[in-house]
Amino acid sequence: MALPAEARALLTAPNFAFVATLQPDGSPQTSIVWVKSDEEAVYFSTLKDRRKYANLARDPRVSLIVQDPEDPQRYVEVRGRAALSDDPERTLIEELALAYTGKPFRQEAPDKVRVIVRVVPEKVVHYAGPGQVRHLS
Amino acid sequence: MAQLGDNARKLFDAKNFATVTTLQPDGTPHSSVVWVKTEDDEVHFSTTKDRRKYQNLQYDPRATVLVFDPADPYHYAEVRGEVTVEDDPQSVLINELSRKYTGADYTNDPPGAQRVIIRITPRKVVVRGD
Repeated sequence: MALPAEARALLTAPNFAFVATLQPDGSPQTSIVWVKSDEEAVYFSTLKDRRKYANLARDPRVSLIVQDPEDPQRYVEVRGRAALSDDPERTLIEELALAYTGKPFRQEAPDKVRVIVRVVPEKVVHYAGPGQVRHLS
Repeated sequence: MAQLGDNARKLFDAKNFATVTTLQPDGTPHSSVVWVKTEDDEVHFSTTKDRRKYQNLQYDPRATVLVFDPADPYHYAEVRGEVTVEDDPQSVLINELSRKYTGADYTNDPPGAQRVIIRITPRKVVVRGD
């Protein structure tokens, strides 16, 4: 499915996204990430030694929330599956760092392996305030 | 049970919105935004019985709630644990939370809404960037 325009408008700098993955015992874990999106997917960067990478490598199901900075009660949730690919040139993290901070990303040890997480949406829900829920897909 | 800790408590006690993640019946994560408060080491939020997160928590009480400082998004706290659920027929908690976040009682519930209090007992508390 294509990512709706309402979702894309929020899934970009300077908004932070909250990403939920599944631990080995099936319980949820959340963390904060920088994101970008195109018509087909949401993208964020992580490292191979992070818990969310291990979680997504084992179970690709993911939920991602981004709030409207003008009104945090308005937000979009994207549920879908993550595809992982190595990012040895650190292309995505540098692109996101520039978008979010205006600067190159900090140095990382050479053994830190960057990964591109591509979340392909299966369900997109837009919450426009209390009681105003729209299923965009 | 883990202790909440002062750094996490400050983030939950401020007027910050939190994201709560529950599990769908098929195990898929589902997230939504809620108002929160703390009491002792617990994090409390309100929902209604027709909401997905209430139904999810009936199947599986495991949840995680994350809150961040909007002035410094790299400063955030995550509380993972299991929830207990209690009926709130007088809408005590939603009104308390509404006063905290908006300064007034809550007026958005349709007639017949069945409010419940959700309390997360922390099993694991993660604080970043404090």
